[in-house]
Amino acid sequence: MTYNSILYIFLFLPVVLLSYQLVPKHHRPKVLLLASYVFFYSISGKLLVYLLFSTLAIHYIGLWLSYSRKEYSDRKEHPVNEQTADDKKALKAAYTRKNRGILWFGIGIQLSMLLILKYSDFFGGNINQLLKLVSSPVLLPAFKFALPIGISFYTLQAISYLVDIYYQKIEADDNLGKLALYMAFFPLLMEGPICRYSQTAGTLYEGKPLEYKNVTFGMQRVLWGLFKKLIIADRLNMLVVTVFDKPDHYSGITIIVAAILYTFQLYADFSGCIDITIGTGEMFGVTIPENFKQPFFSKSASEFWRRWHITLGAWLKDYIFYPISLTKFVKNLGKSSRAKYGKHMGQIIPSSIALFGVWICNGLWHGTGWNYIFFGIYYFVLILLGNIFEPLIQTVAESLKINRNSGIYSALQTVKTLLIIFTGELFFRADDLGTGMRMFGSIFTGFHFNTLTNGSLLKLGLSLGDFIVVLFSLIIVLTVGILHEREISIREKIAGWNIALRWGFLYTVIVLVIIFGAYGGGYIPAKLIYAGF
Amino acid sequence: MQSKHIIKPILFFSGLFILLYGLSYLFLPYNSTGEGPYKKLNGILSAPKDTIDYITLGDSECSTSISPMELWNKHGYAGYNCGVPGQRLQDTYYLLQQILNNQSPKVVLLETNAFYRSFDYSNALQDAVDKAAQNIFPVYKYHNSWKYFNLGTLENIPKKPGHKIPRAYKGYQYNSVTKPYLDGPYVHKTDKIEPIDAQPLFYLNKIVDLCKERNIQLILYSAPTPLCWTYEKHNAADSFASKNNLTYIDLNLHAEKLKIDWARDTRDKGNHMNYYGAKKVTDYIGDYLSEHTDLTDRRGQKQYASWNTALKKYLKLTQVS
Repeated sequence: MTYNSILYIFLFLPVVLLSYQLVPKHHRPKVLLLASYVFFYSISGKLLVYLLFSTLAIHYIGLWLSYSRKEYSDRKEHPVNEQTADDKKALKAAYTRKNRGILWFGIGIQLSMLLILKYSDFFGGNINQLLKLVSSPVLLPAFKFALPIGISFYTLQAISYLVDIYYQKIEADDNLGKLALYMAFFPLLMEGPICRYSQTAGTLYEGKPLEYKNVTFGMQRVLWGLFKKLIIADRLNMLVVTVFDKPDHYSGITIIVAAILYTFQLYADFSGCIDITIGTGEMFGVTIPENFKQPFFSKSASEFWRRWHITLGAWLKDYIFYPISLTKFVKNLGKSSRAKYGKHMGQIIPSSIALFGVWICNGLWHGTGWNYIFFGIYYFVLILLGNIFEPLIQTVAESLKINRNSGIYSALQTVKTLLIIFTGELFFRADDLGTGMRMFGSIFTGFHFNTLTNGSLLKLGLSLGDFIVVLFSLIIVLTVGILHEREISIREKIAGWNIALRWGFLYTVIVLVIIFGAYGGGYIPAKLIYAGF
Repeated sequence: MQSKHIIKPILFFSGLFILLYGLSYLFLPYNSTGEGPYKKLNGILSAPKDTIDYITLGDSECSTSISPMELWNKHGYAGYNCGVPGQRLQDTYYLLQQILNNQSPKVVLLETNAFYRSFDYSNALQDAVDKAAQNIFPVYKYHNSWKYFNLGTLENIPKKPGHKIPRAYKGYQYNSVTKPYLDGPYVHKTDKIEPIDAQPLFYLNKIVDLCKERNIQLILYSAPTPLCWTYEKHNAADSFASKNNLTYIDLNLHAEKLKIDWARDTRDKGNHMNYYGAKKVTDYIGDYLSEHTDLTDRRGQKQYASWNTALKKYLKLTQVS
């Protein structure tokens, strides 16, 4: 069962909504939790035990952290003997060490599960390659585990819960059910977004009754998600699969088209799924954070990542970038760099260490191939270079009297960013790094303009009709993006229309999704892309 | 919620129901049995009565591993690959029943991978909901007909021949993509048995009974697949075959004899055969059928003239590889 399946839309979700509304308020979270476990089980079966273990682990470790802090506070406030300043310091240091130990123990459990289940095959394979190089008689045994759905997402949620308790942003919750629902809420399971405990747990457990506006607005958001997923993403999948499955058969403009269309596919797929997720949450009165903010309007790579998969970027900033930046080593490096190279490089050098950590984690989080690591390093280098050369670009622009706020300059920046994005996604989608490199190289070696006119683009799995449907759908997505950029709420506007117009509009969108959706006979079944990460 | 908040959704969904019901009439093709997702079934069901001498059954391991046209080319046996990706044995059983209404094959080759495709409630429910939606609103099934829709006549014109899955494949799922399998030997001799679940076993027995009843020679075979097959599974299939006096050919144990080149003969890193692998499997199975069954060479028979035309088309379609 996936979010775009008829089973989810027309059976699972209505049954959960109805059950939720019919039971007394204090039982509603239980309905959501039960539905979440049924949903999880329907995809990953017995692997549900991993999620249960993760939940139990953070529950008890969170309480342990909380207890330890309370114990410290009691001993500080009510010492058995009179304490000197040194005693107090020693006590504080001892408890800091203890709490840090507990935190690392908790993080270690979560990370070990993720590393073993998701990465053992990749790391084991690479270590074996090295062992073969040195003619080692011993090789590591090959392990490949079945991955529970959403492990990459719920593990990050689990870690953020523990770290937030450690830094006293939240209190450990002694309500296991509430925590379990935070970890397992079914709309979040497949593709996130990555929520924080303080953001969602409260409203999830509140058991608010269904409200007409929430349900109708939620349904409209789900419909919009289906439009993007079924009409655009799943249709583009046919061309993308054709080219990326036989990369050596294509070159030049065909590769460029495939990279661009894959980027649009990924966006329509992921953001469409997030629309369904947020819409589902909205129906239950749960606010789920946005994960996209018109990413293709970005004017730089770093802005792109503030608009694309926002919750992953925010997580990496809070739990990788800042902790690395605050280590003694990086702080000292900052001081010495400022002294040696001045203020600008004094900021760049230490932050590049933290930035490197962020991008390696970003790459590895997406998958277990060298192309994903390359993808991370690619953005690290681009963003780092952008930071390094920013003062120089500013100086050149001023001396040439270029207005960096002008429309033309902004448009050129957007085009540059799009090129960066398309190139990155080419490597991201390729089977491996070598294939990505070959495909990228073949853009230049096999470039012929007549590819655009000789009809070869129509032999890649999409007919002219399909291209026209994609084009019109992308124009609609672009228009909606422009309206959102201007902070216009389309659903509020629609709610203001008279009933005939409103229903006519909704019927039209539903019929468009049913007729032009790329599902069933004649199409390749397309999985939710981010659910595989 | 107020009463208007209950009446409005009821009216909205009633309107939607009527709209989709009406649209369905526009989208139904002229001959609804010739289109849609049941092409394969239609392929063999549309074959003239009692002209098929053997069929192959199973899931994607079957549909990708035996090419009937290769068998026709070498031995002149008229057969059909009725493998359906993801098919469970219960569906295989009902498919066989349906095929036997119109055909009387002498041999049925049953691929064994589906022995381990246990019943999945979620998939079954998904299928049931899908089928219900297709029955109530055929537009859900035939929505793709917009590509052939004539606005002038408000009718759905039949697809052009070029858009159909070529009948020359006779059910075989052609694919020439190569993605090598590199992890070396995968069937390691053992006495252990991986038991077949009760549900697939129940339908397996029904298939055996049905073949006996219709006097059909049932042969079990396992297509080479490092990702799906193990010696434990081999032992279970072998034991089942012995108990029921059936022939069982495990090609995973004969990969060297077949000269399977795992760097070239698989389309997805050892999960399925590609065209090159299927040719080798088909060649082996063809020789076996030639030696151990009394199938007839139909190449010279007038009734089978279309098969020679199909062969030319098949050879052309597979020529690029």
